[in-house]
Amino acid sequence: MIEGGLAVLLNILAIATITFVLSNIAVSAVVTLLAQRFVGLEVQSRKVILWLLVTAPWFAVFCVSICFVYPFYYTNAFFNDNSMAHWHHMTSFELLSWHSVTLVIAFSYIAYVFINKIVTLIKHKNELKLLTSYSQQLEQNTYKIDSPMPNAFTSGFFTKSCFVTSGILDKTTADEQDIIFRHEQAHAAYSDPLKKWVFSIFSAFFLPFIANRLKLHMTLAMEQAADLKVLNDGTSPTLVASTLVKIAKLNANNQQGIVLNGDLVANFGIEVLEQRVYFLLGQLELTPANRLLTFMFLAVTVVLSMLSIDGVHHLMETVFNH
Amino acid sequence: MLLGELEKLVLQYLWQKKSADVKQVFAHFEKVRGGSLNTIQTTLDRLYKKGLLSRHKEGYAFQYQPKVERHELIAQLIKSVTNDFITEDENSLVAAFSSISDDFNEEQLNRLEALIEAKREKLKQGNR
Repeated sequence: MIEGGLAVLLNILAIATITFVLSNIAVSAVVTLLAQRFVGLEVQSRKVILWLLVTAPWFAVFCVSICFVYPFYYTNAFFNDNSMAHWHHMTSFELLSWHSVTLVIAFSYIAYVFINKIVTLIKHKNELKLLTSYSQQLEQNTYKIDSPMPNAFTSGFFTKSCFVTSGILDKTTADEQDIIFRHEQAHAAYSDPLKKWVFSIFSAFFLPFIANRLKLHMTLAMEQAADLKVLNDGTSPTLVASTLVKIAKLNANNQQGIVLNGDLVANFGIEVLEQRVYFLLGQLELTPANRLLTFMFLAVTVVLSMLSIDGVHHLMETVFNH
Repeated sequence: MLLGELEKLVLQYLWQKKSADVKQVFAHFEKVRGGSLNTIQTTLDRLYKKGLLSRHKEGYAFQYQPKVERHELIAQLIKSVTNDFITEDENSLVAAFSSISDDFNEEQLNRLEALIEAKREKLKQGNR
């Protein structure tokens, strides 16, 4: 049995873990029910909503932990031993208890996610370095890769680089190339590679199908934002849309046979391209997000998580002992 | 995958020569940049272990051949760094112009093309 300050810290971490799971369930339910409606939101609003959703469990953890720590150190009429948000053994922590198990699982998973992301990042950096050495520099941050594969992409967190293959340059007109370059420069200007990586870290704490859905919506929002930047320079939306479809066709043909993929990922993929084309052609009516509803969702998630802590605690204790 | 400077040069040399043993590779690099036979042997071993070279024994020495051509290695690297964000985590690091674009069928792409063409026609008629 641990007592005193360390016990308070471990109990707060146990409370944080339960809060995280509860708020994660709440966010997952919202994403499952409302994800399809996200595409009808304005691009910038959608990005904000997606960031709020993916970080909501961490925000709830922060708020609930404060709410449990504060009354423990300061007298407050709102919080007392009989309030709904309470933990009945704040100054003692039993090492051989279900609380310890939840903490070990939580910290192991956090360590796994971070190590996995860092290893992926190192691998990516090395591959990109090698790819850069096989590339020809066109401009300060633009490289041409000698490859028949039609491709264009941007990478790099702080020093951003845009890559285009000779395959894409050989099969596109000057106007189309201009769109591709400006689209990639837009990704670089918005620091999308870094944001995508950070977003993927947060989404790794959701169930895979929820994480994929969140990442899909963020990908779509980022692509639409980059498309919008190209349009703002006065380019015809139909030319941007036709360039997009042309590159998709070139890629499909380059894969030696078009992929007739019926699984979830392929369906998501076609939705991304379709949504971008519909968006460019002005066939989607995008509306701003309702700020009040968004705020209310966050507040309700935090409050419900806080109020559920005691219930979950007692429920678990009917099965496991301390 | 990370390749050192000498590894890249040796790979480049073998892409041109197609096949060589350690003495032939050393003879070439001794002239252009110096170094020892041991360094070249280690470099060839590393490239073999990284799966970039294949080898077979001829007499007492190994003959090394490139296992992947230059364009294949570049294609592998592009595929790896642009793997899509949805299915693989690597793609969280890039922002591609046409993401997940190899997952469409021709019918879907043709339908989108027809849609764009219809919009163009509509715009033309509107301008008349």
